[in-house]
Amino acid sequence: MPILELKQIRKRLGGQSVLKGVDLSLEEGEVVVILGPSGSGKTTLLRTINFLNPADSGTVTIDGLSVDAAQHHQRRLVQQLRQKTAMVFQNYCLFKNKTVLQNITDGLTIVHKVKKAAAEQQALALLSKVNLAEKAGAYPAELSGGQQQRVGICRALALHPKVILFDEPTSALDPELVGEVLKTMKAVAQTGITMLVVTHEIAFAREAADRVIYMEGGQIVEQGTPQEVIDHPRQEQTLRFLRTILEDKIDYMI
Amino acid sequence: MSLNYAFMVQDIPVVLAALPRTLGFALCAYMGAILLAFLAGICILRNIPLLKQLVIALNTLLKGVPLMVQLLLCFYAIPYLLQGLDGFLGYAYNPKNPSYFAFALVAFAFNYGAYMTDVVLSSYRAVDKGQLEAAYSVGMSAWQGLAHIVLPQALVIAIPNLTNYFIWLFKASSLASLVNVFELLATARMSTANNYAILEGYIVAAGIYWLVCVLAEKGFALLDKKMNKFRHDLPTA
Repeated sequence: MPILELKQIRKRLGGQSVLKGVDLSLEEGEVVVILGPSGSGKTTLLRTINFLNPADSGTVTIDGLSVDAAQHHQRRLVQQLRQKTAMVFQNYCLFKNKTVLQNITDGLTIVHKVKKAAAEQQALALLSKVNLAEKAGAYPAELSGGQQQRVGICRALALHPKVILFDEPTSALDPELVGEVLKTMKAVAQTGITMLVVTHEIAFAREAADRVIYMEGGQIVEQGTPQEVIDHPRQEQTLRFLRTILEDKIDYMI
Repeated sequence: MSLNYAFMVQDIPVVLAALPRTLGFALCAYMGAILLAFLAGICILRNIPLLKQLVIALNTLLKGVPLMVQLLLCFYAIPYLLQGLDGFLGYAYNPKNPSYFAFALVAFAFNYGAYMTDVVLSSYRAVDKGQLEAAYSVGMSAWQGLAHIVLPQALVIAIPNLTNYFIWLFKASSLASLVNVFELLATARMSTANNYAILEGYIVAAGIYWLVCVLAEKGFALLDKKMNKFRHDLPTA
């Protein structure tokens, strides 16, 4: 049974149809990357999964819990669904009034009622893995973008979610900091956790993804293994998009 | 013009005796105003159907009538209201000892509450929307997200404004002297009732008001610095 299943997700924003009946399913442990031009609906799709921007219609099923878009007012249900996911934001969105350590432990202590000492232990272990243990007492404002994003990833991992949603995690970073975050994400992928990543980093998709999805105009145009979609795209739209992204780096032809 | 310095010195403790009462008045009115502003803010931000319009209308009224006039209205109207409530749920109206202190307090709380509603709204809106989304993403409920993440940040943003309103309110409490409240200014005036040292009395009052305001500002500056330590990059007052 797939760990994540989206059925007929539709959404209109400002009079325009942004998601036109998207179906998607992820198996446990899969790393799936969604590529697409801006406006294709990929970020919107991601945010319908944890109901930050609920869809107009359609169903989201995670680990057996199904929530229909029409149920978005049912707070308790939505909260339960959210607790099966975690998100890494484009703008990091670390809790500004909390230290790095508290950012990671808050989800555990406030939501899951874990004891503070145990939560701090877990948090420090995660921070060590990303080489940020010495920053545990610092506030987000004192960290660089790359460091903040790595803390964001730790925050997501601490919750042991069924699926981690990555919303363009490196798009707001200076180029020299992108590498360290991608390295962290690749390490996360190795641990076998289910990841759904919206990104423009084609190299990451090629190296770490089990499946690549190309979205355009609110629909999934094509999906397959990275070799299939990136190296040998079958759809004209996919090829056109990849051309603009890769520009002079292309050295293949269908 | 020569001032009666001897009288001024002797007058200081006399006027100071009214300071605790005046500070108590200002603090109670201030806390009442914050409570009202918070409730009004909730009505507006949550878009509660009838209440939102009512609150906005009331605030327009409260901001559009001078505080002095509102004080006089409360002074004359509240006794009538209380008289009307006589016998209701066991309340016995006593016309002999109306609490002018309480009437003035109500007027201040509502007037300042109207202005502080805007402080509540603006400081809530100033918090980055992503903070609440991140709270949701780790599984927090709306209440948890607000209590742990958003409201603490909103409070820090609101401090300069809240400081100003307290100092403002404390100084405006001098208006209550005109509606039978025996606070600082009233006490200063009464202390010069038997001599001609009227100016000296006002100078003493002014000095005490000024001292309290300076101390309040220093106190708030310390609070501001302490609460802003997570912002790191921003200069504080």
